[in-house]
Amino acid sequence: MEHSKYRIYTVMAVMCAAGLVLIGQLVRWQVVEHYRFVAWAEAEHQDELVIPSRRGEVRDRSGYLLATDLIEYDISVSPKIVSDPPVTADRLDALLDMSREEILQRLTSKKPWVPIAGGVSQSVGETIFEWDLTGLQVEPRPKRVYPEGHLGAHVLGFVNNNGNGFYGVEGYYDTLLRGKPGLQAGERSPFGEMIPLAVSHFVPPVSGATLYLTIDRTVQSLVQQELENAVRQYQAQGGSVVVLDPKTGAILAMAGYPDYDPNTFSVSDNSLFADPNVSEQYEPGSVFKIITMAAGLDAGVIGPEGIIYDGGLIEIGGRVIYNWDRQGHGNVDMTDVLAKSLNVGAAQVAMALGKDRFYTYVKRFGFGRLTEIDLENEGPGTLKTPKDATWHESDLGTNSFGQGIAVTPVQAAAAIAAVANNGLLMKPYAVQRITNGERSVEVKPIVVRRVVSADTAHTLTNMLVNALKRANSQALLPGYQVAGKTGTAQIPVPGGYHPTLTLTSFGGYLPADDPQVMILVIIDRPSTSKWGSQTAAPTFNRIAEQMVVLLDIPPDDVRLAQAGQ
Amino acid sequence: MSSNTMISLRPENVIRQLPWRLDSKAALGFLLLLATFSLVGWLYLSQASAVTTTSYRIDELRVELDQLKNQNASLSLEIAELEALSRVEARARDIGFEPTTGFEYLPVTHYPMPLESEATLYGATHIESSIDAYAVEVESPGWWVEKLDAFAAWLESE
Repeated sequence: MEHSKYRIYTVMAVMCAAGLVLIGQLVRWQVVEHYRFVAWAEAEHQDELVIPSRRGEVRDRSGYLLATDLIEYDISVSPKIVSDPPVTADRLDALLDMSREEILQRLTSKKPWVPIAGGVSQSVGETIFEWDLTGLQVEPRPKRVYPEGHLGAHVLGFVNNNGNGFYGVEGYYDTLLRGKPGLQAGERSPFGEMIPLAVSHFVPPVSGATLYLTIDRTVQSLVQQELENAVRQYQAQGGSVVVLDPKTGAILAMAGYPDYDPNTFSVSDNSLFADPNVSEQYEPGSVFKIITMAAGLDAGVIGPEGIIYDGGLIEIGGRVIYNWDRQGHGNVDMTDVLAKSLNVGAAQVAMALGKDRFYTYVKRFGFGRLTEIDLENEGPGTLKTPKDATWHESDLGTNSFGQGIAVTPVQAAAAIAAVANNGLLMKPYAVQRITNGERSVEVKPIVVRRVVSADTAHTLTNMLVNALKRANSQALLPGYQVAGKTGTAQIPVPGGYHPTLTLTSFGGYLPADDPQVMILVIIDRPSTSKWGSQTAAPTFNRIAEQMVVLLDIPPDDVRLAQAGQ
Repeated sequence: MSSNTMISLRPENVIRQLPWRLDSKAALGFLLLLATFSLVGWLYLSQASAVTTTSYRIDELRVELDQLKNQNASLSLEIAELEALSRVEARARDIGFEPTTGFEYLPVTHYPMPLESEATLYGATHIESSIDAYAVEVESPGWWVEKLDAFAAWLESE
């Protein structure tokens, strides 16, 4: 009797426990996790379809297409629901570049989903889509195409397979270019189709904006061609060129060599992607004497006809600075300092200025900070000032002729352009207009600041013109007054500078009295000559000679005669 | 049971005498209700049908619009590829054009033309003589003009 009572209690206890578990689970499902199950149930028959937006185009200043999206199709299959694989294979065989056996093998695969072909052309993709075959999926996929190939590759950048823009304007304006994807949400049938009468929500996609660059494709092509020729002719390792309108800061052309074709970026060397004109820094060498001279003239510590004595060397902060030819040139005026590119003269100007004023001017010209050009991956360069622990007294001397300071080509170009533009530093920019449907936004030139007075700028321009004439520079262009300066910089290596390799440059503008174009040429490690006067200057000349025709800049006498009429 | 109770077997009497006979007003009401429901049902179904049809049509048009946009982009690309500088340059060289070198600028009197009315500035005689000079030039095109025309014709034919 006692034993049976015990068994009844045991059964009751087990049943109570089971009942409690059951009640507990019901409470969990009905109360605690109510929303989760509701959401789960809704997800079973509610569907959200993201409609991709169309990426905007990129065009040059005249409207020529430089980048656009081409639609390709990916074809895939769910083999289990294909109604008649052999017939489907026959139809696909006629369009796809695959054998019938291969297609049939995929159509009859045991897997739930199998890709058949990727990157199929638009006409083929649309034909298959219109067949509306059960089990076949035809998905459109945009592919970024650059019809001009290499042209302006560094300025443009590229778009990867996931639709993300990198480098150049593709990277900088990625958000604007990609637009906003649309959304189609609603109840779907067991076949996966939206139920028309159910509550639905549709947000149309917004296409990306179209960018009109300041780049002129003809000028860009000329610059790229001449740069490539120069790199080959002087057996250099590379080079870069910046061409801008000094009055606005608009980039007319910007090239780096070697470059790549953005259509095939995936098989290109990654190191070629960054634009050397905005991302890489270099020691500018004697081109920087333009800045030192501008500062000296503006501060009034020197005059254009002021005479200094060049003994061939000068000691600053315990370091002896020599001229490039290790010679003394005696009494020279400031134009001679530029014409003969005398380091000793530039160092004397910097010393006369003093470290505070010198670096104030250097910063005003925009060195050591971003120009804020609208291209991705811009670097600020490297500028040591007396406030930095690593700065040394001798840096004042070496910086005066562009050694021990690193700048980006676009910084150097913008700074020289400021002298051409009556002392006003303009913000360089690569996009002149952004349009989206009916709306259009013009990008206005931005004055960053006045770096020197207009009088200083005019005086320095005349000095630069005369300096080129005195030096009988190869940059001179018959019929035009050219202002500019060569540079030959040693290449820094760990522990000092490379004994033989140089980076040569020429920065100049024309016509000197009314500058229309500023050109900076940089040749990296030329082998035939290590001097800027024999490599970068003639390259400048060749570019300028053709550019005046492209930009319709008549010779000075013709232009002045026209202006006088 | 009363013996004088008469039961008529005529159909109208049978119906009239049925216990469940409906009142004529109630029947009318019922019919009206039925008609209303039918009308509403018909309206709903016809609207639903129209909405469904329109919805599918919108979807089709959306797809068509997308395809047209794609075709448009494809044609723009084709034009851009045909206009690509490298291609134009190669074809120009093929038909005998060379890069321009050795420019010589000739100052031309009164060029560009002033914005003011020519008649005011020079008088009618001057304009006529200018037009005559231009007409003579057009009538005898030089080798260069012929080449340019040939190039323009080739571009158009492309």
